[in-house]
Amino acid sequence: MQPARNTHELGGETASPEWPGWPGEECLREALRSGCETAYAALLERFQAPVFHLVQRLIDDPNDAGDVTQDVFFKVFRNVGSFRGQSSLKTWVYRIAVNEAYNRRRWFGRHRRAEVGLQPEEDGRDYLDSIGDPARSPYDLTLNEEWKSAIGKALAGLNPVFRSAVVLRDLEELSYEEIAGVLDVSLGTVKSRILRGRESLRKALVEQMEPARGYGFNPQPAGD
Amino acid sequence: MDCQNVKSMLSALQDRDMSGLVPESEQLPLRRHLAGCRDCSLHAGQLDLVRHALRARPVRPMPAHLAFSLRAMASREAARRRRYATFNAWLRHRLDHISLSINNLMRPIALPAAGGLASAVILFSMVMTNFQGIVRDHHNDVPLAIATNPSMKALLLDVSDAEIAVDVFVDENGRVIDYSFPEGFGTDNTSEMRRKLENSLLFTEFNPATTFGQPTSGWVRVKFKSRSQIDVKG
Ligand SMILES: [Zn+2]
Repeated sequence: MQPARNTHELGGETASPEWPGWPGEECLREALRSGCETAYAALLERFQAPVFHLVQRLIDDPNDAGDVTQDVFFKVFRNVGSFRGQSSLKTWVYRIAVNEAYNRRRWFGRHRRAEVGLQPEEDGRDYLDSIGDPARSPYDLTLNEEWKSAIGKALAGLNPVFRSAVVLRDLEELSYEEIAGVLDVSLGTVKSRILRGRESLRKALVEQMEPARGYGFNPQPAGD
Repeated sequence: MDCQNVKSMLSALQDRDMSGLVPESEQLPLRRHLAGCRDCSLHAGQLDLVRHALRARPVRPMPAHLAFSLRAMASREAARRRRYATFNAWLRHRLDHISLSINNLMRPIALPAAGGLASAVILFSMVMTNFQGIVRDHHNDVPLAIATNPSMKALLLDVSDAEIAVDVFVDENGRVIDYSFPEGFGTDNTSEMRRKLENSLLFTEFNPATTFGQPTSGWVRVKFKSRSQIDVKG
């Protein structure tokens, strides 16, 4: 399902060498600042696939992911000289990615709303191409296309503020502290955004699936 | 523990690093409630399903052309930064060089400049040693070149046949302001004599004293020896 995850594991909690070939992040940062091409390549190697995937999850049209990813790395390379390392490189790069994706969504919403209707099924068809991935978990196989489009719609309808928090937590598997750094908000805000984001997604999914077949969802309101 | 409470904790319960988000003491009651409450366990199941549905969303692998253009951009930006760093280093080098050449430029003229300044100071102090302003130890001091004493211009009235001497204070306009008899002179200091003298001085014209060419007040000694024989001393 996510072919690049094997080589670009995002968790990073383990003390495994995050920067193979580099003594440490500070050293890499210094090399980036002085324009060392190997350092630029190492940064790309480490982050290009994660950023590309993150962007896809944050924007509605996956066709834009390539452009946004290029914008992200352009900003990263241009600003690496002024990056002083108050946060980790990962947090910094992810923050730029989230902001770029958010800008793209806003831009998209403002200028290209009219075009959306022209290719309504494009997303679904593209996803079909990658379904034959053997790395999927057995659980993934139980979700049919109906589910996938339902969660896609729910995500698209989710407030981008909650969406970025949920995506960073449930898909990128960042810790609460890392998310707070990426979104530049307090830990409490991160917690509340994740909670509200998940709850919104749950409601949206229940509403979509209920009338169709009722996949075990109980239609009666929560009485207590 | 009511259902509302439980539902608010379910999100935290989903996260592996839930320590701190749900206190240890509440985890057991929470699980007990979930086991007993159908509504809450359904809610929890739905949240799990949402997460799995999210994760099941396929992401596209990164296209090769994107990787290629990213690599090209990295190479371009690295070169740009190197140029920038080189320029910075060059600028720093130039600034060092300029300050060094200014230093070298100044060194040959430093000694003459210091010597010139020192000799100017010495010459000035030599000239100015004698200058003590218009301070005078005594009103009869011999005037310096820069200060002159009052002098008599014209005597319009005769005084007497007697020989008298008088110190006259002349203001900056050449008028007599005051007079006094110096010690040892003016032996016949009578009121008749004084009246005559005052009349005489009143009609006498003086050139005022000067300091640096500017008229000022000052004392002058006038001696009347005999008729039309007058001696004026500063
Ligand atoms: Zn309950």
